[in-house]
Amino acid sequence: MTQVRVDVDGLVELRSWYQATHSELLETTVELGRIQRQLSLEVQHRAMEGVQKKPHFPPTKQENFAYDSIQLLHHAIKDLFFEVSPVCTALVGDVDNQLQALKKADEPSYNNPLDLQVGALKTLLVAPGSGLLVDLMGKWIAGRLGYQGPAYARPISAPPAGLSAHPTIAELLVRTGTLGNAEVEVIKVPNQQGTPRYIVLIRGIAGLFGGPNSMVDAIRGTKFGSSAHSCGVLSAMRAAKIPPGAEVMLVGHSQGGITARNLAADKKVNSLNGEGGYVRITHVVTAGSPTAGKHIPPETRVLALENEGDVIPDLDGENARSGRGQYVYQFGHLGTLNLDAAHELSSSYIPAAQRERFTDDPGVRRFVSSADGYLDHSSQPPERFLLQRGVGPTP
Amino acid sequence: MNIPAVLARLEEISARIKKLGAEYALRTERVQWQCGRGKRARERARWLSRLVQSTAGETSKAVALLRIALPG
Repeated sequence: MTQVRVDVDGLVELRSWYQATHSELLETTVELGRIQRQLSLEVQHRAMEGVQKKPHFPPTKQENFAYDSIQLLHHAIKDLFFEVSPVCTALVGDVDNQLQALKKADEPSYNNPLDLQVGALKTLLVAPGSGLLVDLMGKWIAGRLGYQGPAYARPISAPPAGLSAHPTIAELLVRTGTLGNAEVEVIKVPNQQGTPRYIVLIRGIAGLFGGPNSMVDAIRGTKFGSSAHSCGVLSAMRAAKIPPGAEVMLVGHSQGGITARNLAADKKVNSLNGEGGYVRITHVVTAGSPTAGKHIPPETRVLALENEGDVIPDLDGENARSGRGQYVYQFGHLGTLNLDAAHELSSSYIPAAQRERFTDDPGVRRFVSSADGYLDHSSQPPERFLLQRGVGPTP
Repeated sequence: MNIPAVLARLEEISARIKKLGAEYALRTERVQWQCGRGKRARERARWLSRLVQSTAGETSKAVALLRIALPG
């Protein structure tokens, strides 16, 4: 597929110039018409005077010039009205079509073999009846492989630089992308009114088996809710000394998102989902994670980013839906032409979150304004943890 | 009728239309479009430029004739 850089701002500016100029030309045409009428009357008046003086003489050269000039003005007006004006309108239409085409290009287009494969796979995953099949298969795989055991969090050194004073969703995703395999980062956001808030960044899947963020664990997390990864992230939150009842925002990519949703839906973890939960998970941001099937309370606001070219969000066998505190932001493949790239933070989700179309999206704006407490304050240096299998050292 | 004022105004209009006509092609050329759409839009804008400038030419010619036909 040929990548074409199109000057969108230039097009928008050109459109408004086309419109303004068209209006000016129309006004000019009206004025020309008025002048032509006046001149025509003047010429007729002078001709009448001439006729009265010399009734049998042919028109003078001057009179002929006058008639010709009126005729020329008449042509100019006719051209402006009937030839120029429709083309001006067509040019505005050209810009509109171009902008519309760009909008469509940002939506899924299955027009090459690989896109066709993605489209077919996604259709299969979310087709009526297929959801149940995918669900049963997932449960069978997860059940057969069994619970992969607990996990714990070991503190490791984190880069000293924290988030900027007013981080964006894109910055949170960039930060999540810097996490190593099976790492979790906890960022404390001071709150002058009370208990500090915390942002927990959760890394996505790595490998098929083994670690607490393997494919097997992700399938188990998707189908059963509990997983070694959830256990490890919770352990990291406790190790970071997040006090009970504190407000927490979870940000996760891929399996990190699955775990974030599982924790938000867990009554023992999220006090917004029932009494006795550990913390108040007020916000969840997921990128490239399945979004269906978890009973997250509506008080927990969820922003789910889904690339249409990414099949991982469809592993739950359902189409993503907004509602009940959840907003699903879907976007096109952004030119990423393979399944890996469509799922990656760096090539897919971060560029999407950095675009104006994302930040200007009404649903995203609502989520961001509700998350002011996390995003409108300077944070402290982060703490980083490595998740490992096992029960961990005895305190 | 104030013929000199009318003719001066017609000259202004002619010059303005001519300028706008030239700008149609220039501005359309400057913006980066998708290949097919860009080609079509540029052709349309070039045609429009020629048309608008020829209209300006007609107006200008009318002014020249009127100067002879309606002196004073």
